[in-house]
Amino acid sequence: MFSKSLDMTGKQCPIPVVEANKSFKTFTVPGTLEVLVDNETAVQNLIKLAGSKSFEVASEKKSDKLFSVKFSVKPTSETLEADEPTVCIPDMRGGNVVAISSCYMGSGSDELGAILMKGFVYALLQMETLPSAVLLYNSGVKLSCEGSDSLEDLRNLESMGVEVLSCGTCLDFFNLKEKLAVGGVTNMYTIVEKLCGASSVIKP
Amino acid sequence: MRGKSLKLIVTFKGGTDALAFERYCQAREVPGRLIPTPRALSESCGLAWMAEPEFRKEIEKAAQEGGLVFERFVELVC
Repeated sequence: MFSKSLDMTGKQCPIPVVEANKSFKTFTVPGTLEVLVDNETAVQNLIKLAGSKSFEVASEKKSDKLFSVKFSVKPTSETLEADEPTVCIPDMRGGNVVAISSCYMGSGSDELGAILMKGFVYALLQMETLPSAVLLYNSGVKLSCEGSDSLEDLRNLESMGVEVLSCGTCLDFFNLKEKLAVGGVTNMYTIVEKLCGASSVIKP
Repeated sequence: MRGKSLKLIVTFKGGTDALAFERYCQAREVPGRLIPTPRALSESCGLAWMAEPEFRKEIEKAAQEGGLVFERFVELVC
């Protein structure tokens, strides 16, 4: 399959979007375009560009300052010839912080609560405005560890610039320190700092 | 917001059917996952099975073999 790569690290929006758009036009057969950028805003704008072209897209956080955005480019006259205005929004992350204090959403049935929580994390990804951080504490840390059904969704959130932080004391309590599979480990000071600094706190 | 793409969605009349579908498919590694039903299909129950459209036949076969109860298969951009 035809594939291309664009290194847009060090470039500020709208340059990555403009260059990706130009690169789409060089595809005469279906293929993959990987764009490397160093900031979350560029990731979000590239994802928005993919949506406007109806291309499938996947993003991955490779390190603190390196993100990969992969487009499945399908060259058709409608998607490639249309010269749309460059999409460039400042940031899709609002000042909201999501605090997940349990691996269950609500009480009454743990089985139902686990399903609702899985759905909650999935639905977070669908929002126009993403939270700036997802804090996981008490049994909520089970969601960020190996075997969790929410890992893929949390990784997607992280790849879009959302901080995913699990409480270290809680990981230790549940013997899960070695099983953390997404995001970083945090402590109570950072949790309190994030909660106090949030424009609103969402607690499922 | 995550990029949208065409997905296969299986809807159910009730949550119990959705949970039975998930249990059966997960045990047999049938592709897909349970999600909150997309708003566009809100006539159905709150849970739906989502998978890539190319797995439609595999999922239909599993549903038939397992005697699983579902409402309908829909392809939807979500």
